Amino acid sequence: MVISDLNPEYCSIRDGVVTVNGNILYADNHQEGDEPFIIKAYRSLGISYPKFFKMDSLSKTGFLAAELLLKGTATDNQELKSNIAVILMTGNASLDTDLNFQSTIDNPAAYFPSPSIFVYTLPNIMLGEICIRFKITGEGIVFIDREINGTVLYEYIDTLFTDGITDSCLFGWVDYLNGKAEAFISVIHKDMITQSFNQHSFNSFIQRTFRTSNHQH
Amino acid sequence: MPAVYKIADNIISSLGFDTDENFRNIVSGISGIRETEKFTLPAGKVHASLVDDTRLEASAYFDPSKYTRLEQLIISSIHNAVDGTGIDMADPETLIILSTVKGNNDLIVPGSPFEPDRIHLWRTAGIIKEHFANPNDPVVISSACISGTLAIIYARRVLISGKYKTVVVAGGDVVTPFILSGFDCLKAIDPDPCRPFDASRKGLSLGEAAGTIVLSGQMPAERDTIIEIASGSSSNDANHISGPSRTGEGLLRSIEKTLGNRSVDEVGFINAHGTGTLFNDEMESIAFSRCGLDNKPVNSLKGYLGHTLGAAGIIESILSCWSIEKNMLIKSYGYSQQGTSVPLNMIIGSAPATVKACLKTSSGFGGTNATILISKYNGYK
Repeated sequence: MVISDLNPEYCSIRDGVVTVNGNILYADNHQEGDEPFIIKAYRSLGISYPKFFKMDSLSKTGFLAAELLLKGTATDNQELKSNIAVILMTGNASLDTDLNFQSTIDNPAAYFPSPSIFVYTLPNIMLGEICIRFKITGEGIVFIDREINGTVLYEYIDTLFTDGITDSCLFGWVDYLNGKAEAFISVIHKDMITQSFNQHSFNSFIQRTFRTSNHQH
Repeated sequence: MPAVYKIADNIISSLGFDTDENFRNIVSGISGIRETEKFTLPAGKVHASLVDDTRLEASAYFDPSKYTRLEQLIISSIHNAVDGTGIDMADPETLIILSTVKGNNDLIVPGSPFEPDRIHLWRTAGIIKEHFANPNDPVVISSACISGTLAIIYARRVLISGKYKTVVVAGGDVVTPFILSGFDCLKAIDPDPCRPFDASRKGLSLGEAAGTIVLSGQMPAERDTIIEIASGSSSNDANHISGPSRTGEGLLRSIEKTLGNRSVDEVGFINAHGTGTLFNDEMESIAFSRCGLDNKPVNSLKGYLGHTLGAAGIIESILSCWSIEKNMLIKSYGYSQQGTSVPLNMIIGSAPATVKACLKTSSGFGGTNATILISKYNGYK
């Protein structure tokens, strides 16, 4: 088994660096008073999707990674996208927005809960935003784990392929808390599966493309 | 494809601490949604379905000072489901799946006596794993209101893959000021107890509960009725993050995938999501009609237990299993007059009936929809 056989396209956002298939598209050069990193990355990458600005930071992070991966790559195919399964994992889930919403109800004298904040207090809203953007109507699931868990992702993708539920999966990790944005999104197709698609090659793929991506700059 | 069977279950709610107590109260027409002073809203009175504190803390399974309210509920529920059944929680072939929407959300307020990482859903699952000395990493599913139904679908798929012998699907959520304020600011809370599908409905009632359904690829020991999770699927509306599709598109697709090449005649009744909000119930009626299911008996169980978020899909599926096992269709509590543009065959009185299968549906924020077919085992393949 050759580990490098499993080589799907991916987008990684980590430590202020945005990469697609290992190529750096944006690297943050933080200056005092700057806009948040994700917004700066969005502006500098020439993306135009006005709904982006009403999303919370978790959804912005997931959206940006999915947008960069699915637009202008081999996966830019609407028929494929409508049936693709979306399998996302997060650690902090919606905690950043939860804290924001809680601050609007903490003080009875300044009780002003906002519907536009509350709707983002669910981690699967980022999945919904990605589905809206790409008109994805397939299976969807959000797992919560302390860090990206290749075993859970691999087992589910393998099950979906084996049972004939879908031919392709958009999968990965999206996390956001207190200004720290992380995403790793990739697409795997059933026809990429050969002997090399197994738990080991899958974990190696995540390891070399995401876990180590902060060493690229 | 191998079958996946229900081998044990439990519900802890305002209506009881095991499924039998819940089922008897429900069939007797008792709702657990009551006016409560535990929570307040600017508009005044709050109705919710809450678990009795004294009874919960009297549980013999743990020291209540060491576990959060949600952890107490879920640990008690799993114990009640598995103790005495021979299910080995410490077996490497037993997997725990946790379904929760907001987890220990009550700890978000400063001054919690618990360590800070207890706010995380993965930590809640870790606490449960440690309590039961289960060797596997628990899987946490948090996909809004479909979490419980999706957890059952995931469990079914994992069992078919053959890696585990037993999957314990546990779920729960507690009512907190955060969740109540949130739904209230969306104008989604009915000031009175919720009335799913009724013309006078004004929103949902929140509920807290925990539920456990234990599934296995091995047929349970001899009993009158064997229940299987025959099929399941999910689909996204790709339409709006908080409003359900006006055409019921995602739910329709999920139902079609779940039924596959089965005839709609095989569906004995539908256990709907039926939250009591104007938009959800309307969307469901349209989807059922478009699937040719509008003459099927329909109930929502939220009039008894409120919207229990991460527990909802699990406890409503369990009650629907019991409906099949006990040959008893359950009345849709709170319904009296058609309140959707497509008329539905609402169940207006609990009554004996023999049915073979139930279509259980769930829909939620983020455009999510999930459905499962719960069936009497008779060799569906």
